[in-house]
Amino acid sequence: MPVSAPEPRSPLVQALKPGRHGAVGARQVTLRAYRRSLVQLQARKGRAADLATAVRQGLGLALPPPGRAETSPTLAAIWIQPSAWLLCAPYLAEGDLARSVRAAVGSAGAVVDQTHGKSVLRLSGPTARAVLETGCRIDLHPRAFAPGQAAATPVGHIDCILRQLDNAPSYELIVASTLAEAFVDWLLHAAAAYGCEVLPPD
Amino acid sequence: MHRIDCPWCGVRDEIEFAYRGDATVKRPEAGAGVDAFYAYVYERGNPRGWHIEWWHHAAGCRQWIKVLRHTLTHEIRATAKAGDTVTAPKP
Amino acid sequence: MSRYSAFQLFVNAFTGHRSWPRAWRDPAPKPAYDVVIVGGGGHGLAAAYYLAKEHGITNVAVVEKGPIGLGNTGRNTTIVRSNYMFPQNHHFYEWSLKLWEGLEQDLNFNAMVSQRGVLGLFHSDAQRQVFARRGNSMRLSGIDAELLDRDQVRAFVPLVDLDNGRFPVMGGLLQRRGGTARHDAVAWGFARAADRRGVDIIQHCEVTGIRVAGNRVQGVETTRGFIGAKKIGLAVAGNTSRLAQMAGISLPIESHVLQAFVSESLKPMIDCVVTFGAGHFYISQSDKGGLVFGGNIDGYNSYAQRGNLPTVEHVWSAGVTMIPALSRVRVLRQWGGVMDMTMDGSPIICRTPVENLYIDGGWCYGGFKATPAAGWCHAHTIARDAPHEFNRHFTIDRFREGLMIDERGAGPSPWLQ
Repeated sequence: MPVSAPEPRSPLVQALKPGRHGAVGARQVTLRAYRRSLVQLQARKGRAADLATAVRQGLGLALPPPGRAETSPTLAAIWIQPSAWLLCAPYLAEGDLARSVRAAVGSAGAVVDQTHGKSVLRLSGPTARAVLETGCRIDLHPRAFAPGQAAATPVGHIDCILRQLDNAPSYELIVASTLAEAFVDWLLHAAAAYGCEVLPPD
Repeated sequence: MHRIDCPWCGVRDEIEFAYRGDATVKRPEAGAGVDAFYAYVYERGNPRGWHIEWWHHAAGCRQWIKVLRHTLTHEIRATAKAGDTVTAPKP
Repeated sequence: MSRYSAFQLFVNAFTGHRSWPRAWRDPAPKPAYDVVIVGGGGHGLAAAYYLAKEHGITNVAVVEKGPIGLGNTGRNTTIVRSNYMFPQNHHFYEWSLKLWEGLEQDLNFNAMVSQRGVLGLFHSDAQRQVFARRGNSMRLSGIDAELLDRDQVRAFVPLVDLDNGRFPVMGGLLQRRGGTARHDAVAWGFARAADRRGVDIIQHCEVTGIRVAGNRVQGVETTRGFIGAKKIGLAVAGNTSRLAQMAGISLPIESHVLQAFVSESLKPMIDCVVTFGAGHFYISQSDKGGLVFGGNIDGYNSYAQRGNLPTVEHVWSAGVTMIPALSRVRVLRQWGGVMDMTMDGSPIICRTPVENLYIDGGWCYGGFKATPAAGWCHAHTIARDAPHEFNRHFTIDRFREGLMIDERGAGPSPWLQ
């Protein structure tokens, strides 16, 4: 049963003040923190096929192959390592996503709530790729990286789960909450040349 | 600069990986004796040439992978999942 | 061959310094020697010198695949010190420092030994304890060590950022007798002094095999033919595994690459050796003005004498964290050397399972400071067929016997040592 943990609070609530940062102009990006429930789902040994079926039937989502993310209107699944995915949904209540995923997958998978452990950000705008490229070592050019693709890779020296959402382009960045403040500090510096509008948290 | 083709994630920068040493050493059976365990723990072929080695994709998919790399030129010729077999070319 | 002296300098000035004799001969290899030392770096040349000087064995050849001193002797960051934690290391490295102190008079060669002090910074209470313990351990063995507080560090190296947000400096452990020496001059000085005592220094002569019969060495196969030897000493750190394998010996060593850097020449700004305690970084300034600095090994097996960019970035960021003034400094040169990384981070100077074959290797990234004592102990071990008290712990067998000398406590992961 759910433990009596306090409500998850990302350090970004304090660290990421809405408003303008850096240059002003048409080339600016937007940055926003999102309140999300996060769950790591890992197939039990030899149960990968069972897990895929259970997730499809119970959560209405196909578990993606390496390097990709799948989304439904209420849920995203990101491949993070062999037979393991990070599931991401709007936050409703403490333990909500973990409970529903656990109910859906039964004994086919291990479910670990990551809501307290990770913070979710989105960076969007025509220069978002240029901003990320100052600290990201994978090729984000459209010929190599497109909406639906995801990668676990360091960004600005901080390990990050990165996925592209659309062709704006918009990127979702998931980092450890303990490093989220340092990450945002780096990101605002990286974006300063183009300007960054921090929107109020979702 | 090493660019390592992770069998799971694709080509990634060396900085995402942690080196974990010679992948050809095999743990002996429990009763194999002191000499076998001494060789397993301490002795290394240390070739100047092709070397099969472990790299841990610590900042990516967290998997240990095998890499066939040349210790003089730093050329990487093959990468494989941990359970797969990699053979070094004859010198 | 004449001694170098002020008088000789004066006399040679009359001929525009064009009449100096060459500093060492260039002999063709003889068919056989009493001792062949493989490796013409500082260690090998020192071993040959001390064989001749201390043991009267002058029928000695040093064979070197390239020009002398072009391997790790010419690639290190020139630091000499004896600030080790363990007694097994104390007496050896302290003996080395004492040899450094008298080396130039002994060799009649200016090796530019400069006892400018080696300061290691610490950044936390826990690290202070570790450093204090090391300093106390040193003092118990009669080696100089001083624990400095913040103000003393400020006075000793004004450029260090004491108030760094992440790694504030709380003090340092200073060995005043530590310092630097001119690395090339060390090779040249030993070469000239060994040559004067009759040692043949044979350059451009690569060993391709070691001939063994009845578990006893016979000589070395080289690119200039077979050279017979009653005894063979290996001083080829970086390639010790390969040479030992030629005699059928497998060693607890991996070869790794270590990078070093030199900046453009600057006015004097750092008059000591200072090392960072929250990362791997050490720096000094050469007499020519270049800042000489380095950090950790790249961390993968390599015989390439060059490294890769992640380590460059790590070293430079550690440097700028310690001394922010470095952020505007331009790097002039950068290179790599190949290290024998042993499984406990300590060296090997000992007999081997093959009779009359001796090894001086496994220096990890600490071989330069050991040059005189390593040669001295290697010579002793070869001449007496038994180790000296100073090197009796540096055996291959220590790994089998559980007597590792692991200063860092990293265990058998050479890339972490």
